[in-house]
Amino acid sequence: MDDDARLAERCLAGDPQAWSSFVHRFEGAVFGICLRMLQHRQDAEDVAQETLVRAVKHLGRWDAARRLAPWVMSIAVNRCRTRLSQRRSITHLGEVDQVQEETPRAANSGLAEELELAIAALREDYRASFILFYQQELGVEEVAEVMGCPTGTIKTWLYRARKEIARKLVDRGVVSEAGDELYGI
Amino acid sequence: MNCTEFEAWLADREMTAGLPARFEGHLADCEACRTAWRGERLLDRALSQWPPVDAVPDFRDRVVAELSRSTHTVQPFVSPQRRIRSTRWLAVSGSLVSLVLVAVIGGRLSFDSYMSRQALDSNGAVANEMNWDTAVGELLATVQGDYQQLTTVASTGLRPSEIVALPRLVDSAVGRELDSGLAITGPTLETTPEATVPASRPSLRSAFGFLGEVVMVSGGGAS
Ligand SMILES: [Zn+2]
Repeated sequence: MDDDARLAERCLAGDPQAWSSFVHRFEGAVFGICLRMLQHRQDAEDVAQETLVRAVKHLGRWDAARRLAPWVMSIAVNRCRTRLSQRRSITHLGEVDQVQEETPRAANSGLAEELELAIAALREDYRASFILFYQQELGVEEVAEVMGCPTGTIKTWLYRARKEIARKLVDRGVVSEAGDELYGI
Repeated sequence: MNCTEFEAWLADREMTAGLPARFEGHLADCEACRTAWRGERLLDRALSQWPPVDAVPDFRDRVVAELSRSTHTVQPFVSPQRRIRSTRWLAVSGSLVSLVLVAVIGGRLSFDSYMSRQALDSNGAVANEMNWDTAVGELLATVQGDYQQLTTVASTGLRPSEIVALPRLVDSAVGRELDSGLAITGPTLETTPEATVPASRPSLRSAFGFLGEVVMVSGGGAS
């Protein structure tokens, strides 16, 4: 039995130490996905907590022949999609004002901050795929599994996302400290 | 070289890959491709500086506390070996249930070989939850409407308790799945990424896949 399966078994046996290890292992990835998907810190905390609680409770459904991380991330993405669709329907009904969006605070400003802004402006499925591939470093097939789409679709989405972000970076006049010669031909 | 060839190369480009010499001439003459390339290199650089998000204070404690409050709902662990056994069992019994339904409902349904290995794969189908809402509603209507007929089928090979338990299992599985926010793992449902509601009605094939999952609920517990 590998580490993932052992951890899962201990979690399901109700071992609080194992829960803590599980959360420690996935909190960064899950919160990262939630914050970048939802663009709202409090919502992201709530959904990340919900994701991890549900993941632990339903570990019995995880297929131990596969990696645990994409399975946990698929719950996070699903929860984020639900939250976003709830937001849309609430906004549509005019019951509340648009959720105030907050771009995740980048540790170093500049290019990384511009990247966050550009990601925030992506379409929901492009954004999720981009985060899973470039931030969480899942393979295309794993992203496809998480998103429930064929790999060809994911490749297209990733390319479109990259293209949109790249165009924004250029339009906003972002210049790296290395100067234009880095990007010259 | 032209714009199309350059764009095709860009689409397949590994991050950080440099510009092949064959495109240099085209980029010197084409501002659009030159701009696209500049953006691509900026993105490379931005990604290399992309920081992880800041940690949430006390987050782990909060999650563990929440888990402690709700330990009674933690589901039993199924080992990979046991999962394989129960998957085989449910492939057979799920097929039987579907065949029974086909026999009972007759010409109303079109049935094809839904119970693929992938459809039973517990990670294989991450369905959009909104799609599920619709799919499950229709499924319930179908199953509940035909339940009486189903119970009259005596020669199915299924244990009577399994047949009788179907509506209850459907209810509990639906409730659990929708409440949990997890994908229902049995069926392969067409998802429509651009919209939260499927353009077409969820197929009955999805419903049958779901029944397979329902049977798994009972089979997993019994095996
Ligand atoms: Zn060109």
